[in-house]
Amino acid sequence: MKRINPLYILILSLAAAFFAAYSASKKEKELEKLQIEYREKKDLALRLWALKNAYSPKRKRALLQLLRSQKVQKSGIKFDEKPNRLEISGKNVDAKAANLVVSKVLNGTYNLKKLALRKANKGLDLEMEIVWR
Amino acid sequence: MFSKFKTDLEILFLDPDLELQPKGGKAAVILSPALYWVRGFDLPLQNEKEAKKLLPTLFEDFLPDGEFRYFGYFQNGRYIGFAFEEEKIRTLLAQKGVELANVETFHFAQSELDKEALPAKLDDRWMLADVEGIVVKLPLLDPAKVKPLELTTKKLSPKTVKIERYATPVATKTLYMLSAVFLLFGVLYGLQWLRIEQEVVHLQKRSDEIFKKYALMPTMTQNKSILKKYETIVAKQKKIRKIIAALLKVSHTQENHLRSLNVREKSVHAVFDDLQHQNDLIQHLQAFNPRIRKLKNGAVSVEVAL
Repeated sequence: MKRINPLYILILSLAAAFFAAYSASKKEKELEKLQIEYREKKDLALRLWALKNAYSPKRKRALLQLLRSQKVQKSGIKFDEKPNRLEISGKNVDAKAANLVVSKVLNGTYNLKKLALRKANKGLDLEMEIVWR
Repeated sequence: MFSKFKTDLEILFLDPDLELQPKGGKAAVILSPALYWVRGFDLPLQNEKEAKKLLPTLFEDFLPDGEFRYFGYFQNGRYIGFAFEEEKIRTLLAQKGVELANVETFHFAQSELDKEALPAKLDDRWMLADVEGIVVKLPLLDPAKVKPLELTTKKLSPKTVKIERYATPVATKTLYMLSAVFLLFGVLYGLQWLRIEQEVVHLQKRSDEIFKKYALMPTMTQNKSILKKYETIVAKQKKIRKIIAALLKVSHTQENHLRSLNVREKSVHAVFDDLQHQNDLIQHLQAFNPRIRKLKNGAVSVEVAL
């Protein structure tokens, strides 16, 4: 039987151990890099998802509910609902009703494009435009 | 005793039972049969290198435990194989006062002594004899029948072996053990690599699913761009609300009458009918760098850029 020099075996096993250690270390670094990327990606995804939800057109529903309420309707505040946009207006409207609508918009996550409030004879003139992406 | 200068080499016959008196110069050593194992083999080979590789196996069943080196050559169609222990020879040389560094070549009695020269007397107790073609060391029984061992005219053959000056620093067994340890490390690192690889694959899978899970665009760049747009909106809307809050605060604390309030694309504009303490306004809005103007009718106009 042909015998292999044990020194060759030693060198070979040492080389194999070094190679395996080097590969494992390289893989570990790859994993660390991937973990950082994953965290960044997840963080971005969560932030974006939260903002998309916050400024989602679904939020319109609560505002429309208020605008359709009897109190607001009686005050003369009108609204025009368009795709991705809501225009609210009223001439000489009741200040309390106007305050209710303006407060609702300012305290919510609405992308307020335009707001004009002006004192009128008994009430207020109101113009408002909210947009959604 | 059995030594002779030939050219510039002193020929020494090395045997455990014989005295040696080396001159201290360069020497060639003939090894006594007591220092090696020899056998003749009939091999279906003609290549000496190939045949030598077979020697460990051929001697396997005959040798006692130990670290052996091998040598061999073909003679009259037979392969003459030798096995010897370097360490034994080194030790004996040291005992006999021969510097290994001074030994140029090592020869075997088998290859150097002719049949005609045998049996040869070594000393009063020992002799060398030829037994079926093998040179052996035997007790001297009949001094009358032996010839003296003549080395003066001896011409040494090129069949030599080299003895290393130092023993192998690490024994074969230790080498195997170390190899096993390194291999074990290799296997462990290999397993660790596999574990990490699995984790990498799993993480990549999860990473690919993130955007799908949150119903976002497929690439990082697209999503970063959208996020930037949203963050701009958030910053602007926050600023609008802060400015309005500051304006309303001034209006309430001073009982001023806010005549109008306009939020436009790039600014927030307000008009107060009566503003007694303009400093209040400046104080509340100083973070936004307001532009305050007095109008003709006494009203005050405030404008803050977005």
